[in-house]
Amino acid sequence: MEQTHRLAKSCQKLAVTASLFALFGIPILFYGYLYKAEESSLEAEVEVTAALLSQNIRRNPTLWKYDHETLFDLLRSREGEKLDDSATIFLPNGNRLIEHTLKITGPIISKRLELTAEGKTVATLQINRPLRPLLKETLLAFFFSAMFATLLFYLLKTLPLRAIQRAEEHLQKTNDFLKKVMEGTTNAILVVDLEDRILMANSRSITLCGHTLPKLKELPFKSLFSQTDYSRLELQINKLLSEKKPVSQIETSLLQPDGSKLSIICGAAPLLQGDEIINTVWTFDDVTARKIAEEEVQKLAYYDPLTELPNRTLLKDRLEQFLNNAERNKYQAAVFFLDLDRFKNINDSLGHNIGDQLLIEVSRRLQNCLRETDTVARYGGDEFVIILSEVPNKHEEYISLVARKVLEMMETPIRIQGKELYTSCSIGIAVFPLDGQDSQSLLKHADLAMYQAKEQGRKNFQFFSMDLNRKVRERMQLENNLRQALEQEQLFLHYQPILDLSNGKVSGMEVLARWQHPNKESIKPDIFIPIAEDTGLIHPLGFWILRTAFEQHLAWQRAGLIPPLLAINLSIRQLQQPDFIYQLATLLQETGFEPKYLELELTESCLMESSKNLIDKLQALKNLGISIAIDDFGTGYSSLSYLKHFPVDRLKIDRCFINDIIHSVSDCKIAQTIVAIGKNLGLKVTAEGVELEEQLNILLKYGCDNIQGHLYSKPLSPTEMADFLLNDLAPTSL
Amino acid sequence: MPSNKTTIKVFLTSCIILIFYCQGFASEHSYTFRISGSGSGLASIRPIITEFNKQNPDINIQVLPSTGTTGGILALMDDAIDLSIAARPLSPEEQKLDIVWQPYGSTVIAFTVHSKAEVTSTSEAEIVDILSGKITHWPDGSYIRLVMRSSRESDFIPVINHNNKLAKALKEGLSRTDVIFSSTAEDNIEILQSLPGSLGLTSLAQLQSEQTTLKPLMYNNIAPTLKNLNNGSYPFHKTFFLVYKKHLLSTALKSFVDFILSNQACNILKANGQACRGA
Repeated sequence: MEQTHRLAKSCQKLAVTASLFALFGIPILFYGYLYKAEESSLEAEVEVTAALLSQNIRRNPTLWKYDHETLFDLLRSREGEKLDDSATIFLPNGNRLIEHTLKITGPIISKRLELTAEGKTVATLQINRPLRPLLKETLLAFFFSAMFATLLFYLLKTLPLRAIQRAEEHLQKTNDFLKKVMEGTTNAILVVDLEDRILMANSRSITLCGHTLPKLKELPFKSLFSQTDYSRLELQINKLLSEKKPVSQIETSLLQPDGSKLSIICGAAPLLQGDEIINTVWTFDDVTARKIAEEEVQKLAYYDPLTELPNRTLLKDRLEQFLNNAERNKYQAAVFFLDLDRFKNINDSLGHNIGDQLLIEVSRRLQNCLRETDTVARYGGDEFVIILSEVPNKHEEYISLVARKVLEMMETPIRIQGKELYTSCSIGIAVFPLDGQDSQSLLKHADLAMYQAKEQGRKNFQFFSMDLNRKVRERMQLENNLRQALEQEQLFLHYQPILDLSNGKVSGMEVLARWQHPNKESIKPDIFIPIAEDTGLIHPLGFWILRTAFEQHLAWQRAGLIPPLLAINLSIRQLQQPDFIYQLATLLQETGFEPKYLELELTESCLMESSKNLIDKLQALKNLGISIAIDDFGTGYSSLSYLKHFPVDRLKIDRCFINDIIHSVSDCKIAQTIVAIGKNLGLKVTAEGVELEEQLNILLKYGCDNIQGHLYSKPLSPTEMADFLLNDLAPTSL
Repeated sequence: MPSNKTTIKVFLTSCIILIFYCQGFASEHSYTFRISGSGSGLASIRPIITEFNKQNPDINIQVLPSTGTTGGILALMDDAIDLSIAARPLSPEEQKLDIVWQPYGSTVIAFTVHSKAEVTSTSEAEIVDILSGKITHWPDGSYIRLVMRSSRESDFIPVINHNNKLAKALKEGLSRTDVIFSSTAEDNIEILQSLPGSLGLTSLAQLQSEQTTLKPLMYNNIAPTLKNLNNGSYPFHKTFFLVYKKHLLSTALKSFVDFILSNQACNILKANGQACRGA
């Protein structure tokens, strides 16, 4: 505003000066020009007239002065004569000889010239010209100048001001617009001069920097950063100042008044005046949220969200690093593959929430019992991997020590939601570089070793060995062969009769799958069924067994035999198949096999891992008319609650209790108890693996309903079974 | 023997006496007087002077450049000349001066054109139109170049005085910017002769005495002759006067004045296109 006022004053001064010049200067110049022109004209007129007069004098040097008429004519008819001029010839004595004149009033312009004859001045010619016309014209010019001056004054006074006002309005609008842009942007914008002073800052700057605008303008720009950050930033500033080009994407932090830091990405551009930098414009973008999100993404990508341990991806990355370090420094490293024993049971029976809490606690414990340089990762589910870096040369001792420490740590009960949980783990160990040169083989071998540990009865650790590796290879071979076996019909069924102790007749027959490998001996189900379960082949294999047994049973029926109940083992994997019930019902319908002849055997562990869904499925099987038996009863938790809830028809006492039933009081008691439970719950009880008369007698004494074993009959081929059934038609007594 | 000094004295004295004798003889036998005044007047008496000089060789007449009638009278009054020729009657003021003025001849004033002009006559109407600028070209297509003198000039006074039409037309002509002015009678003749398409006013006396090539035009079909002037059919003429101071009239000058007024001079005038008034 002050500048505008000053400018207005200057305009006024200029207007006054220019107007005064126009008012007086133009008429004066005009008068000067006219006067000069008149003077020149008069001079020419005098010279021409004098020439004529001199010519006349030369013609008549004696009497010329008497020839008034000629002189008068010469004066009158002079070239360029103006009507209001006055011309006079004076004699040397000053007397007026002749004049051609008009009465001139007012100012005049006058020119004289001497007339000579024979070198002597004989007269003087004088011509006067009035200046009145000049003055009149000048007055007129003054009049027009006055009008022009007035107009000029008005224009000079108002137009620049108006232009300035418009420019100011425009500037204001531009400023408002820029302000809106600056305020509207999510970035902080600061204008900084070359002496590090902040000249301008938008609202966002105030927010990000945490200072008020006046305070911000007092602070040097560098004070917005920590010394370390500014040192790094200074490199970019120097680059900007030297190259005069913008710099961008500089990651740094703003120092907050409370000492905390705010992550930003900043950029700067030079403000040039000509070729010189006058200021720099800085933009700050708050990337704290983005940083957090990036960290989150990083976490999600590389960390397990539940335990916050490194996930499989990061594990592999770390393992590669460890191996590189170990190789470079000639260290050994160990990989532990750790799996919680029976975690699935806990998860299923107590819920995922408890399971998750357990995993978190296990993670915490694992971290606590390791060095900072070691790594614990969650590999998946209840599997963890530990990398021990810089293992000493006598690695087995050190590694065993750590493994034992882990096992011991797991022994301590874990209390979650008021429940005390007992858990253990199995650990497989592979050592670099002995058991593998790369992360993949080390993990694989550790995994194999872990399975070995599991097989060894869990809650222990096993080092990887080549023998183990060989077994695994064999197992893999077997997996492939099993697929072919299904296709090439290498599988067949045997039937082991079950004796009804009440009448000595066959009451059922357990269907036993057999695999006749083309290059090997017959492979037992306890070998290939787990493989089938692991590989998913259990589904086609299970239905093949069902269909084959049904068809065989029907064939026997058609042959006039009276085949008893078919007891077929059912894997929990089969039952977990969503459409198992539907497919079974369809098969029954297709084959025409009556469900009353079918008893499905589930292991106790299956029921323990079950859920509410399993009860529904068992109930659905019951609804179809199928009986349910619990196989290997007594080997698991033998919870009475599931006997109450599950629709079970039969309990099968595991052969491990029958084996020593003659000598072992406890086995005897267990068998007696199981029979008693069955009686009490209205369930039939079958004892498996009965091979001796003494065993039979004990079971008879306890009131067992059925027995199965070599004492009665070994598993039979279909043909043998047909004969057996034929013989069974005759009355028998034990 | 006379001394050498005496001889030298006698010789020098003799020389001085001889010089004075010679001077007295010369003054007694060569009288000079000066004449000026109207140019046309001087031109008219030039043949008379020639004849007078033949008869009076001892009288030396100096004919000075013309001064005009008015200038001649002024020069006369100033004793710059002894005789002035006037081409007009003296004004009342001039008549009051101690001078004698005597008419001795008159001449016709004619509109004259360049020798190569095809035109031979004019009329009052044509002259009026030419002067006023209505007619600017001769019938042959050439431009009419007006050569004028002062309205107080003796050649113009009779035309102005003739009638108002002509007077007005002459005034208009004088105010035109394309008109060529001549300051003396001699200039007038010279310009008219040298300028093709020229038209001016001159006296018949001057035309003849100067032996010019100019062509005088008939006016209203009447030729500018003395005969037509005398019978009153031609309107424009002027009279020449001798002007001198009577008390200063020398013998020689008197004899010249007498000669001009003599029959012999009258004949010379007539022979030069003038009518004599003195005889």
